[in-house]
Amino acid sequence: MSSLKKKINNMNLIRFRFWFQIVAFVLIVYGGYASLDLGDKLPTFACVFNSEGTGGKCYIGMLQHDLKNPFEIFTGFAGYAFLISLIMFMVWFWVLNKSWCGFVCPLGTMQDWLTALREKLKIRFSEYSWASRSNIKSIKYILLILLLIIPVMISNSIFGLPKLPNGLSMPFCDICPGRMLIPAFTGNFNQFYIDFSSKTDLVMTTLGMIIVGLFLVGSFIKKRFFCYFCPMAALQYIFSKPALLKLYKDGAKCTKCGDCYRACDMDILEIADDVTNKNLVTEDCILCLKCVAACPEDGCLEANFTGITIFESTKEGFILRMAMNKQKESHE
Amino acid sequence: MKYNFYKISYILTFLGFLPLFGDNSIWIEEFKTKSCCTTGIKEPVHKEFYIKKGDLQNNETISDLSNAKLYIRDMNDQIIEQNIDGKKISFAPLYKGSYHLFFEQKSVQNGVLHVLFSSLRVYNKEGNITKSLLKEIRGKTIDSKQTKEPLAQLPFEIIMERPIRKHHINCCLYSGDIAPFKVYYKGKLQKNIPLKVTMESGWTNVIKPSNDGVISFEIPRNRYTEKEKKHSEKMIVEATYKVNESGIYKGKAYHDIKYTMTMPLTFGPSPLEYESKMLGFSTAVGVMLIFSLGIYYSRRKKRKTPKEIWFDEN
Repeated sequence: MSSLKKKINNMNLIRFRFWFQIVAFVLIVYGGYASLDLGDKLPTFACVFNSEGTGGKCYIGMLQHDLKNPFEIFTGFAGYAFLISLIMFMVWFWVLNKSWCGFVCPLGTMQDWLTALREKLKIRFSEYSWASRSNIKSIKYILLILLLIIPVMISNSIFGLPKLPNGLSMPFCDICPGRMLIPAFTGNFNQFYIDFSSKTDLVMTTLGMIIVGLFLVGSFIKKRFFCYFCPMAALQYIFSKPALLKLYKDGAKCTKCGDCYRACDMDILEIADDVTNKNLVTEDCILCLKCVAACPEDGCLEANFTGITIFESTKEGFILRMAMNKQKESHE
Repeated sequence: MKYNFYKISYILTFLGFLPLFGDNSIWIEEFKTKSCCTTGIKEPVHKEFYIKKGDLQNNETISDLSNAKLYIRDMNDQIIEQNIDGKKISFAPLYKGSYHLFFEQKSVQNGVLHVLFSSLRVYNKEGNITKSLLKEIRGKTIDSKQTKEPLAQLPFEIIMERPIRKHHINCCLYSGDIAPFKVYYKGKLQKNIPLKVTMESGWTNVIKPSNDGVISFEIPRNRYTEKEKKHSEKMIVEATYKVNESGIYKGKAYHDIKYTMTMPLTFGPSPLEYESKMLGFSTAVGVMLIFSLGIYYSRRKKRKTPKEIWFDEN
């Protein structure tokens, strides 16, 4: 048991995550071709527009679809269907917590591939300025609120306001880069279009095209560029407290060396700075566990599943990974 | 000269197939009520259907549905057989999702046993929560993505394959879609049975299968104004097959069996008619260029950011 634990703690996280992401990507983007269907409440971007390939569907699409019902229907069957969907989403999410983002999300994986490409090309990365960071963080909550309110306002008049056009029934999907990019991996580029059928469709599809352009360049230059704006991350964070997978920190063992912060794609300062809180799954954390792998202190950071430590920082693991990293650099 | 030869042989082929198809098709049609979605959660919605006879422009409801049966297939491939009494067909779907209805009626006329089938896909928006709990939890069932197998209860069947175009979530048919069909007799794919297609607008054609037995055609495009975006048009696909087989049905002798199956479908204006892919790509590429140049100029005088240090897991 202890040797298995040692093996896990000393593993090459980069390689493990790389292959895990590839398997998850194949299941989600191409699983449909093998009749795989994980349902339509997945806490990750398994795009509904990837019609034949998708091995499951993103809950954001389902959520918008459910909320579009008129109140009289929502208070009947549709309301119960909505609650079941929400509970299923939470159950899926509670098992893996935000590691859906770090290990499973195909849009996150694409961003990691773009980062890897940039590193190969030896182009330096960019960061968001600290001054703008709090504003950037709030965008995902604004998007979440909009995607919750807009579909409701299509079938219902709220506070006497006029109903919104039907073209806004899936407002986030219209602007989500996953709608264009995920089907593109199956050779389907049909989502790259501008719709002139109405003013709403024209605005939303143009916004979608602009965002996909920003996504590709932004993710190339900034690690996990889009995750800061992702409403799925905001929705997940709301339910993350009771999740089974946790990122724990023992503040007494932390030397504030900053290695964890430097390894973090999401620039989460608390991971290095906070020595008082035990649970460090913050709103932006994607539970990629790179901080655990980068920590040189025994037992300072750990990934914990239902109270059992599954991966923790060790001096030995740190030295081994550093050696692997240097070996890789010398090969390059 | 060669063109004329092809044209004449095409017309002759078309005329040759015409006698196979009856003058009056029958098909199953849903009777849509406005109060479709107001029932409570415990009471399943009753859906009603009529059998129509004639063509899409001029038709009547068949009032005599004696010797008729209805097979209902749910999304889990469970089949319910239902006898029909009276003029209307009704059933109460328990689950939310797609159902396939197969109507069957037999009669002997002039020594020929006429076996008429009509199938219709129905989507139920509501359902009994206790019955559909698993479906709601699970989403689609594992096999729901695949094209359905021929129904064992139906000796003759038209099956629509998935449309080839993927410009929309798979719920609907649109003008311009390639609609592929296959015709089965006793579970075996038939490669020589043509399909008659009739549109509500009056367009009609007889389409022969390809070598692999797929009968496909492009749903005719039409011009719609912006106000007609939600316009929907009906079409009926019909296949007929005559078998030299004798027997007795309800005391009447027959020497041939004529199978006819219809499948009513509805399609709308294609979203593609309002889309510009070129402009979509151009916008995305233009944004990428402008954004890249902006980043390049803003970064060229800046020093390398201090975060990229000797250890970085990525």
